[in-house]
Amino acid sequence: MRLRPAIIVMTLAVAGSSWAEAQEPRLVGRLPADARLHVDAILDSARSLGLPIEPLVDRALEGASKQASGERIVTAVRRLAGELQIARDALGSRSTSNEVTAGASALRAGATGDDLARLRRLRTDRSLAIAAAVLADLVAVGVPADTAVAAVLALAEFAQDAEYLALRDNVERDVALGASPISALGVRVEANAPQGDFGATSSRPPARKP
Amino acid sequence: MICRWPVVTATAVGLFTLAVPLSAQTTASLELGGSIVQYDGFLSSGAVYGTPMLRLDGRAYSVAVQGSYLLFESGNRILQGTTAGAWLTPRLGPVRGELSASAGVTGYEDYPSYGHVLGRGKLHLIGEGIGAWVAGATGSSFFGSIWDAATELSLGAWAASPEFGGGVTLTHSRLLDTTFTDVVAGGRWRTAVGELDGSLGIRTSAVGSGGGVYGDIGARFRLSSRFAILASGGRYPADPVRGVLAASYASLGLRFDFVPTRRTPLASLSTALSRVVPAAADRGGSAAAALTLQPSSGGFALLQVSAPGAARVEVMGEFTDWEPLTLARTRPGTFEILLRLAPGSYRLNVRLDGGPWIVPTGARAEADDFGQTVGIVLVQ
Repeated sequence: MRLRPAIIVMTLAVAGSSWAEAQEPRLVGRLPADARLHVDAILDSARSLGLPIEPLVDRALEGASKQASGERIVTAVRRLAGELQIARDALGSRSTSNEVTAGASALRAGATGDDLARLRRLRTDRSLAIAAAVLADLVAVGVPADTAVAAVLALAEFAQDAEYLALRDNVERDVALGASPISALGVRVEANAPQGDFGATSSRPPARKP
Repeated sequence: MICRWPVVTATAVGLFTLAVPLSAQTTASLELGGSIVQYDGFLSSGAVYGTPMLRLDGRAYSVAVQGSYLLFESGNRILQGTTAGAWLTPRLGPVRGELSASAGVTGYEDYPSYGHVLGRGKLHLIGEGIGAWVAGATGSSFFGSIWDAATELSLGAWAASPEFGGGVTLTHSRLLDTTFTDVVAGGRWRTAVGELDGSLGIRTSAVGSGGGVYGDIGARFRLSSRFAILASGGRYPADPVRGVLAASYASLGLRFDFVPTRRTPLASLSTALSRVVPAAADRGGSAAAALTLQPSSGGFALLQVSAPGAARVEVMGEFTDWEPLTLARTRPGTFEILLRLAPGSYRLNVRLDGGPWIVPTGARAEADDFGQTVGIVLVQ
């Protein structure tokens, strides 16, 4: 699975010869000319693969607004295209653009394509966008990726989007109050971290005369 | 002295054997560095140290083991080990109980070893960003083959946000005819790149242990997901219960985390400060502005930014084609805009009064692909 992005990038690079047929108007005047040519080629290839285009255009515009170099913008768009491809393959061709985009974020947070495929199987009739995004949020707050994946999957069959968001909010609040991320995720209620008497301070020399 | 080490080792192994979880969060690190330390009544001395640490945090417990090896310029060495475990009761409204135990031994050359074994009960009262607790501990402290009963009574209160925290503790300790009371205030400031903390304490009502003012400051800067620089200095008081001599010190160390983390490195084990101020989450958002996103009818969402003192707030994100959009000022310090947003996650940045683009509190901050940070918000 790890090799897929490279393969996809190569595919995107060589399959963009017809870029001129599908220039993205929103990029005109926003990106350096060279970069726009490359991004248009990636967009055209992605389009042919059935990937959502919006997140790729958005990523290019984000780079332009942040005054990134053209090379860096192209690299970012190409990387995202690879992630979208993996996410779309895992989630299925019927997945919405939001789901695929959220899936790409989850991949970057540490989930695998297999994780996303399993999430799809467990939530066949419900959107995955919030669940996948919450997974990325949990990892960002410090929950190990495998634990965050396990938690999101555990709720997948019955949880509504609001419940995922509540889970995320509770974990963040618990961690803000001092709970370890995994502890906060486990109890899903406001809690305080165990604060047993753990002895001496790190980087403080031990007691006794030298 | 030597006979104590198997006791502590067995305790540590036992705690881990009992508590190794299926889904625990593991923190394992090794800190290496140098110190200049002057114990009261002795000349200052340079030293190098190594501190391995292993900590497991489960759903309602923490277990930790820490060792420390210190080599002074005189060639003398100190070997120290501490193990501790804590278990949290289920929460009952705003109240939660905690039971913990710790044991530690310090060996220095051929001197008899110091050590302690303590059990502690603690009652937490937890609110929204604030809390208080009361605790009692009892156990024994030993020096060589002599064991003495030790007790500690303490209470504390704290307030914390992701960026700032502060609190105060009051602890009364007794070991034989030695008694002392400590009042310690501490504060913490966490930024995207690291964390600063400091504490200031005073020992009063001291009988047989000396008194006075003490305090220290520390800084932790994360270099990568595995490496961090830690610096600290100040003065800490004698602790007869654990066999700690009062000293002034300055230390600089490099910490390696065996398990990569994005978070600011915690102190290896809890410190006087962390007993005052709980660690807080670092979502990476700026405290200068707070963002909320409320779903509205018709597929709209109300994006609101609270930025006290700001005259103008702009937002740019995926929903503006990354063009700056000025929010309406609805009242002093509050800015709003109604956006049509489908459920999902969105990337954005906020700017106050034409300054740099930031990630406000309320959005998850993550590194973007362009060497900056971007905020992520979810719309239901």
